[in-house]
Amino acid sequence: MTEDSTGSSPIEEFLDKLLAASVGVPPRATRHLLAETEAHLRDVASEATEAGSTSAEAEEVAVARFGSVDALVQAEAAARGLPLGALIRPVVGTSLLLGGLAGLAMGVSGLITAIMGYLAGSTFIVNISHHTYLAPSDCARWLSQNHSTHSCYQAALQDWSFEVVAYRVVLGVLGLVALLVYLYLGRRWSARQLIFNLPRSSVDAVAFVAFAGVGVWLAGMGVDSLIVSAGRGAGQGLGTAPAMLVLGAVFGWRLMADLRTALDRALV
Amino acid sequence: MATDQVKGQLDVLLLRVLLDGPAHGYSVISALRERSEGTFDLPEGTIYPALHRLEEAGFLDSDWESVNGRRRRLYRLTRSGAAALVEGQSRWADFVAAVESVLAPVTPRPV
Repeated sequence: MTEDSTGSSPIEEFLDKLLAASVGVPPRATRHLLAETEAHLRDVASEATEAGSTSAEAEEVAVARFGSVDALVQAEAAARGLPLGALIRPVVGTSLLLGGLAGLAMGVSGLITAIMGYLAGSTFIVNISHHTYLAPSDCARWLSQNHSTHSCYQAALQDWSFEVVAYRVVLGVLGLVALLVYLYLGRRWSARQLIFNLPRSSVDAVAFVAFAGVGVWLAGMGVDSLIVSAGRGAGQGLGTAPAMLVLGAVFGWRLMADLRTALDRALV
Repeated sequence: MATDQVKGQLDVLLLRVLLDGPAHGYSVISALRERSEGTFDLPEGTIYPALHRLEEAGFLDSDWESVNGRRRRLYRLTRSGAAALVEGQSRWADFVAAVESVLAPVTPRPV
């Protein structure tokens, strides 16, 4: 072996690349492929060493003769009939997880928005004023649906604030369903040793940017409404931002852990 | 050119090599190179997906053994693999005969 002080060598580097590229290949198949590949490479390197090559040259020869990692993984995936399922499963799994969490966050935001509306009034979650034009036909519909109100403005306010909360709660229920489907499929796929998530660091990075970005943007919109519109409709942004920011913080924390692990490995 | 051509016939070549007895991947590719006198010089890694594909198809089975502390996977021909080999050899013989009949030298016509 020609490992340097970091434990690296041409064969070790090749095996690392092979492992990293084997996304979508079942864990057991990956372990077997790695074991066979390592045995093969070390046999070739041993022969080259016996023929007079240095250890480093022998390992380079073994790796060069083996062919490219990409070609090997593609052929392996094709041999096991994996390409479509291996691509679709992680995308479906990750979409269900992140979509479900986003939906759940919207559901929680619906509850927060409802509380805000209760405490600060419906105008806090609906951007409407006495100067807003309301079509007579809409007024008639809202008034027929809200018998307790006596003006079009009040009826519109009640209808819109109900929709703001109700749509969020519906999204929350859909998010919960998506998460349950994710758990169900995840259990089934795990039992068959199939990978159903994209790489953790990628998921964490995407989720952190998406959730934190949306959270900051919504918080900004809410503050803007507080300043520019005397708080009318501010509750929509301010009610949704906390749930998004919490998810952003969770995935940000996971991302930091990923980076620390990667850094530790690089420094070993 | 020979390397490109052999890829289309790799399965039947592997089955033929394993007809002589169980072997692990490195032995198989070495036998392939030696018997072709170096003509079939494939990237060695290509043999493993092909062996796995043949195993998935039921033409091979495999066991793990440990030699000098290194795990090796030993492949052997199954009964259906032997039948597939006979079929592949027959197809190849027909193909070669057809190609030879087309490529057979012809006497130039007198002008």
